[in-house]
Amino acid sequence: MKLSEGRIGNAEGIGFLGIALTVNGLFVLDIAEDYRLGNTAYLAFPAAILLGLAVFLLLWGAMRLSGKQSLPALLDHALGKTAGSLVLALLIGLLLFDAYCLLSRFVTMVHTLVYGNDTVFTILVWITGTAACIAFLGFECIGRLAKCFAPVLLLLLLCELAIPIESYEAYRLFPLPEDAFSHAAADAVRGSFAALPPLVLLLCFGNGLQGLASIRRIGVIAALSAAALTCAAQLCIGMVFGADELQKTFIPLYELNIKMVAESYFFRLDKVALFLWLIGAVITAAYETYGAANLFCRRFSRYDARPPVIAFFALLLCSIAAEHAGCYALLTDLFDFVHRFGAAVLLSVLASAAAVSLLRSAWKRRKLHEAQ
Amino acid sequence: MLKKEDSPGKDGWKTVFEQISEIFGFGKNSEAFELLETESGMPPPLGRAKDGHRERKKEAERSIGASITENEAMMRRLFRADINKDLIFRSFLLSGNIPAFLVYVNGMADAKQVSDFILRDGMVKGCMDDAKGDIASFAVKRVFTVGEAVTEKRENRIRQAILDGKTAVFIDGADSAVLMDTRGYEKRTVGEPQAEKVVLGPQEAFVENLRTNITLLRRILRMEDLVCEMRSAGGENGINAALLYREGITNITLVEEIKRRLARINTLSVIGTGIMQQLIEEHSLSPFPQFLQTERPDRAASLLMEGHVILLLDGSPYASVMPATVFTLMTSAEDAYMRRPQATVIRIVRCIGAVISILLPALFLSLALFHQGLLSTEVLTTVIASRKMVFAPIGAEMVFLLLVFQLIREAGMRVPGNIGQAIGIIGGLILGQAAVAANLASSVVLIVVALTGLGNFCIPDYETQLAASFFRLSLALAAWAGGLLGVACLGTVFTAWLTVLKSFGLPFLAPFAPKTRSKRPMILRGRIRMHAGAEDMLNTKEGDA
Amino acid sequence: MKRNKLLLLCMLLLLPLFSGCLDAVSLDAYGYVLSIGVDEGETKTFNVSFLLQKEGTSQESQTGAGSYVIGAEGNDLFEAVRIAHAGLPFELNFSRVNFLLFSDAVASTGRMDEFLRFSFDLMKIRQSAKLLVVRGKCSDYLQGLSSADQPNVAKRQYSYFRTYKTEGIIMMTNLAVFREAVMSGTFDALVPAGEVDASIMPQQGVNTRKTDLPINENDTTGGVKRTGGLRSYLLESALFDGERLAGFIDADDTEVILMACGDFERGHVTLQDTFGTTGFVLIAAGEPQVTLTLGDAPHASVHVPLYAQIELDTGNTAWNRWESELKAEIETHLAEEMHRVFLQIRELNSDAMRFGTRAVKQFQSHDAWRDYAWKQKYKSMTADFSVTVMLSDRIISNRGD
Repeated sequence: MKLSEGRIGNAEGIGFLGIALTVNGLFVLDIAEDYRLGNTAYLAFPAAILLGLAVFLLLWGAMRLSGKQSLPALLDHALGKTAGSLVLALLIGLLLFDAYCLLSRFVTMVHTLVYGNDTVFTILVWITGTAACIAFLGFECIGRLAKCFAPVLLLLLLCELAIPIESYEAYRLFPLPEDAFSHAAADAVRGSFAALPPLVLLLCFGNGLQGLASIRRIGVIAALSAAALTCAAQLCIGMVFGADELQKTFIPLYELNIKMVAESYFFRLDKVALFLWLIGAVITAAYETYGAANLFCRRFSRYDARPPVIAFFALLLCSIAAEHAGCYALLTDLFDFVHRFGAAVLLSVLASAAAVSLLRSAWKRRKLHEAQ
Repeated sequence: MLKKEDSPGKDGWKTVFEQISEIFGFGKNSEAFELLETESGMPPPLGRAKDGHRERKKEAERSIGASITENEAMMRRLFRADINKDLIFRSFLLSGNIPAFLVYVNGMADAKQVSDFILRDGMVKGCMDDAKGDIASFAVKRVFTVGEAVTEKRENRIRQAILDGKTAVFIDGADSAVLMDTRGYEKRTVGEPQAEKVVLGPQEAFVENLRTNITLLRRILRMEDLVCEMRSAGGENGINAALLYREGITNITLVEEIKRRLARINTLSVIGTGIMQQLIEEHSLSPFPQFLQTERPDRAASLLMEGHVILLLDGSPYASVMPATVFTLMTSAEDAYMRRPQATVIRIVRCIGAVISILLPALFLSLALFHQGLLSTEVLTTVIASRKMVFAPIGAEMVFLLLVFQLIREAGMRVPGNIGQAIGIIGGLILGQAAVAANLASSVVLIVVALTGLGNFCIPDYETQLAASFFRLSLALAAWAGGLLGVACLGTVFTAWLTVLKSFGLPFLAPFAPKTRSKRPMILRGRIRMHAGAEDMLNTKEGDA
Repeated sequence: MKRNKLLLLCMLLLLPLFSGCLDAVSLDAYGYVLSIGVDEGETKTFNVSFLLQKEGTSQESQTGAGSYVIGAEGNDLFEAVRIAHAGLPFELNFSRVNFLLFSDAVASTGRMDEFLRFSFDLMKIRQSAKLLVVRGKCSDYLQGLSSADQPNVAKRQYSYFRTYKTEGIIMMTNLAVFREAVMSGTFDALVPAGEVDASIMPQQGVNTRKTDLPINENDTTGGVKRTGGLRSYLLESALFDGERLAGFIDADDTEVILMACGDFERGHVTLQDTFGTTGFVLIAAGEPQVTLTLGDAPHASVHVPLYAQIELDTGNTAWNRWESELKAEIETHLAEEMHRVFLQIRELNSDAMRFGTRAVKQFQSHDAWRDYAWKQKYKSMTADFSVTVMLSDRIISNRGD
């Protein structure tokens, strides 16, 4: 039995992966620049998730054919130990970057929308500390916690989308961008930097998730559900806010009911919803950071994932604190760089690895067949 | 992978391909690395694994001799007969001609049984005339008419049996003593449960006598696979414990693990099940118990049937059920006896009460201190009006009232009988009213605390109620410090803690997380099925079938 | 070594404590603002009034509960709040603000959006707060809302808004919708307009006595004499051209606009002819169907389906005359009214009927939409209206018997 990995089932896996993809789709990908030419977020964001799913399935197929039980093994098989280590390092970096984006976003949200008179650092410590505790407790903890909160978050999202139903107007989606599909496709490729790492990370937990068949089931169900929910949410957001408004609105999901004129009992529960989403973000950050720590341990033969977890969270804490202290130029440049190129690099590398592995496996099988 | 010596062609030289492969690390087995768990559990985050436990003192296994004089002298010395007048030494002539003596503890053994079934039967002239070889065994088979009689050579076993209330008979020339069950000490009769009262259902409760408790269970479970293993509790005070489970059904790994932990106990005294639990549980700092303590035989029997293991201790009127999950702790004995709709409603109300008990003070503090916009104007004005002249900050007021609630609860429990109930009423009504009139507390906060208290009492298990108090206070303090952010963060940490909590290997939130095959509802009351099997989350043999 | 590790662990655990606690302010340390009114200032740009909720005097009774108005001048909301705070023993809390009122003087200069463009996030003023335009002074209007019998102003304010909207008298608009109208340019906001009837005796409020407010016996409520009730009333709507107040329309015209733009729920119409007076309750029967042709002079064809129930029939002939006369009469009447109101609001350059929201769907890019300049084209727009009225179940209708 793996240290802290334990054994978790399909429901838990779908829970934490679904939460990770949905939260990333709703809060990380939601960038003002994406609305410059109009609103195609309801196409682009789900497409980013589906693109990640395609690469995930490609890698999974390569693993199955080559008989490798985890992604690091596949990368070593396809690219060799050195190159495989570099790809893993890239994956670790992107995972930490995703976690950073998410935590930073939520720290800003909680500070701006709720605790405007307080310092950011206090809020940061609360949130990061919680995520660190969860990651510290291990993979089983992340999975079961996600199982507890996934139905709550699903219900919350459905309620959030249902409550302002009277204020949805289709005209706010118009005018559509001229090249809507190409625009959405470009956004989807760029946006997969947030969707791909959590999916690919799943392939590294073969033993903890009870085998490759389970992994595929988890990945497919979680990705399709997240894509559907993200599409529905972005569509609803698009029917409440026009593209011009979306460029100026900080978190449109939080303000989805501001155009309602008929008040109801749930009218003022957006703050409660914010903190429930915070729990989802914390679970996602814990999953991604734990995954990065686990990969680090595997590569450097460490037997305990907890010290790297602490180290990575310390890094995240300092980065977010630096960002909010005004030292954000470097981080903004880094964000822009990753936003523009990160997905393309990871997509191409992983796809190449999968292709090479498939070819090698096919060649070996052929050799074996000829030998027989 | 080709090795150096397998390289075709040149001896000792690798091909270019092999060199490149080595550089790039092709073929190196990544699967060889596994994150391992150590034998003694997870290592602590900083430092080495914990040191092993103290080894149990191995008692010298001395056997008694055949000389009655030596045996008597040994027994007198062992039991300090010159000081200890509880020990009764009675010499007599077995069969009229064989010197013998018996030893028992006055009060522990039934003197009438001793005289009727040992002395009277043993003194019959000629009863041992046909004895050949092992005369102690002959006496057991042909002379003494006590129901339970065995021979024993080992001194420590004889000593323990005498202390348990049995009578030991030493026969001159026999190298083993005859131990006969003549226990007849005073014990409480089976009465009504004190803490788990029900309207529908049996009104019997466990008592302090181990044999009686086992009998109470066997009366309900008349099954040949119900096994009762007697063992020492592990304390130097020498009382016994009984481990009950269904042989062939209960998960053998669970039983072995429990036995392993029981065997590790080596302490000064084990007086009650609470001490025993603390010695064998794995999460000693967890406020949540990892056992269910019940005083109801019917509840214990029901859990036994599902595949749980029961631990009974002599001198304790509670049965410890292992393993326990949060759903086990939230179930009341009466749930199974009621019809499904009523039981479902009551369970839902119970869960709502538990949630209110833990979250209400924290949520109220959060809204009052940080998120006033979430409250309606009516509530705002009511709360403000109620706090007009109250001097304490609302957070301090809340903590103070929660403390007062705990004080009233503890005082009511310590004071006996009807006075205890009156204290609860007096404390609640008069104190509360006086506190509001004196502007020490506001009526709204008092109502919140009262609702919290009511919700707390909805939790069936006493230890779980105390755990809820711990969480309640922690969340209230977190709400005071950080509002909904504090509540959300600390609540998430507590939930995470619960997910990693295990009771003898069973996750505490099973069968919800992890999900099991069983489709039985956890909060709603499921249907009583015709062919229901054991609980699948315990991985019983029945479930595997 | 063990001691160092313990020290490190203690430091890690103490880190959250060093970060400090979040500032908590008890709810009884605030004064809760329910409504904000903005008038033109004398010394500064704006004169901002705040309607505050006041709680009762003790835990046992609600004596003294109600509302009261305070005010201060400032060049923006933040400055006005700062000045107001100077004379208050508590901090103002804006998280319960439900209504934002602007006087017609402020609204007609187009400074509403300027005032609203400030971020309200720090003050926690919700973007869903309702908007109101007041003919006269907002401070008088807010004073006129106070009543000793109804200490909960917020509840009452919202409930009569909702009733009026259901009755088709006013259109409810909030801050977010108004800002969308200004930013997107696809429609113009229709905001409820309130006024004070100075002939009504002021009710005893918390800080007002009956003799405090001036009484004008000649004043009316929308041209009609009224006695009793609150001094403040809502009977009109304010038309906007972007961010500028363009004009006012009465309740009947508001009802017509609501029918045309699809926000209508229920209303009344009365017909008088030789047979007597017939009153109808009109109920929306679906979304209006709008066909819009773009170009230099856009043209719209609007068809509105409605249900009708006969409410008043002095001649007792309405049932019999429905198919032959009344149906056509009411349909023609409503169509003509819609056309008249359309021309009226077009003159004021206000797209209150929201034709722009139909027009935008026909464009493929934001640039093309901006280049089209809808508001310019709207000035030369034409429209024809048709109405279909279906009589509801005869059994449940009141025949006036």
